[in-house]
Amino acid sequence: MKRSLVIGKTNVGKTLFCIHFARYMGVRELRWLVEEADGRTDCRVMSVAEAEASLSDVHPHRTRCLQSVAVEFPAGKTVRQLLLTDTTGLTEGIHPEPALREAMAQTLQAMTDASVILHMVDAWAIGHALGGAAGPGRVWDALEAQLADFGVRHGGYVLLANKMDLPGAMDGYRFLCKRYSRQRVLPVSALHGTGFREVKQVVWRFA
Amino acid sequence: MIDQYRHGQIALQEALKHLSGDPGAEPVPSEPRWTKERLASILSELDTLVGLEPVKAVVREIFAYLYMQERRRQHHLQCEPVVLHMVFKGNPGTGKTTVARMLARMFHACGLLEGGHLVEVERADLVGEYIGHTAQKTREVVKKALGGVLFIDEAYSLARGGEKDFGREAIDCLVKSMEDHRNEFIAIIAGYEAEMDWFLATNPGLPSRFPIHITFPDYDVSALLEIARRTAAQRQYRLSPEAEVKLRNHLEGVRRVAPAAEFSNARFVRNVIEKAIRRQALRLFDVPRLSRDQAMTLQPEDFRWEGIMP
Repeated sequence: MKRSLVIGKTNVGKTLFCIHFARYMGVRELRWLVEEADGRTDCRVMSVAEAEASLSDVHPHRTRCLQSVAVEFPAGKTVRQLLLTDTTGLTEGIHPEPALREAMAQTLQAMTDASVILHMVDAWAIGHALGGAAGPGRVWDALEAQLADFGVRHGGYVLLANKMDLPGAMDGYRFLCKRYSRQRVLPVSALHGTGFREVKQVVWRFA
Repeated sequence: MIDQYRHGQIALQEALKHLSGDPGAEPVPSEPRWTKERLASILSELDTLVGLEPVKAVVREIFAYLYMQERRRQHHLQCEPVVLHMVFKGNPGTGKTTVARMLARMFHACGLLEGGHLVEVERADLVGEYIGHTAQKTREVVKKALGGVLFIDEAYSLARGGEKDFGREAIDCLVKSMEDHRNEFIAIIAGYEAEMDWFLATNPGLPSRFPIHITFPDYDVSALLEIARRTAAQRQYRLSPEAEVKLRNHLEGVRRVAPAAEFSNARFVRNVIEKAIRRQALRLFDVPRLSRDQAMTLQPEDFRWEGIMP
């Protein structure tokens, strides 16, 4: 099964996007395939509400492994499946905690194998930084730029501008559209489920 | 690359650069630029100095800090820019210039200074005779010192002339040059302890710009005797046991009588040895057959103190 990997920095809404996008795609009971950094795998079944409560958190690094849910895309008379994989949020530099470095290394490894890379960014934070007259490095830092660079070279790359429900996020979205004018930049709200139709239209082609 | 990140050897951005196939990505050095052995070899030069244990301790501390900065850089941890401008406080002949010269060589060996030379100046080299002359002279001196160490002896004299003295202009120009040429040279200001403390207090901008303070203690009699032995040995002479006793007794007397600030420590001993060498030449002038031992040994009668300032 092909894999679409949701990557990004911490607290940009990757896990919530995976849960709500799976629900949008008709998944009522989430069967998570959990791949730990040490190679162990597990299967966890939970409802959308349970997943929201236990997997998503305002604190960074709630996710410390790859957790995937299979979503189905109708294709003519058949159905194609795609593994939607949530990943550990990435941080700059060398993280002092070995377990988290292990988890981030797992994310990097998965990036090399994925069919689709959904790079999620916080459009509100970008818009906010733009409003505060911050330098270009603050608005779009080196890590985001390198993730985008990797995605562009990799192919099957989509930039998801999340948190569009928040004021000022539109400025961030415009910034991204201007900077990555040749890439697909989709405005979404992982919390409210807006923009998912466009994501589905793009992603199903890779399934 | 992913493994290197996993083991904390490279930053995430570097791993990503390599994964992207970025041709501009530089290979990651696995070893620090400074090795412990290299540092130990550089620091071994310090051990050739007699005494000065507090000074050696501070210098070792500085080098350990520089080495640590390099190692932290390898782990992509925050590294503060190293400010190495120093104040040397101590009486005459306590080794301030010698240590400054040695530090210049050591920093050069570490790659911190390009040239590693020492430019030794005093008030007259910095202060001009008419308006505008001082800044020009100071800038020229700083230019010469770029890549090395600028050593300002008796720096307190720059602040002695009062508000209208050109010395103040030299200080201001020096401070500005230290900002303009940050990391390009190291400034060391030196002088008597009390005077240097007063000097630093006269300008609020100075103490923060000279973060390293090293106090050079006076040598005790044993250290002075050791300096005498080494000075003589460098010129292939040695002191007879009787000559050592005579010198020791004299040094003890001088240390008791002469005020600490007026005793020129190692410089006095060097002058005494040089005079003894000349006196020995005179003593042996009429000796027709000279043994190797005679030619090398300084006897008590060669040691005369007249004309040598303590």
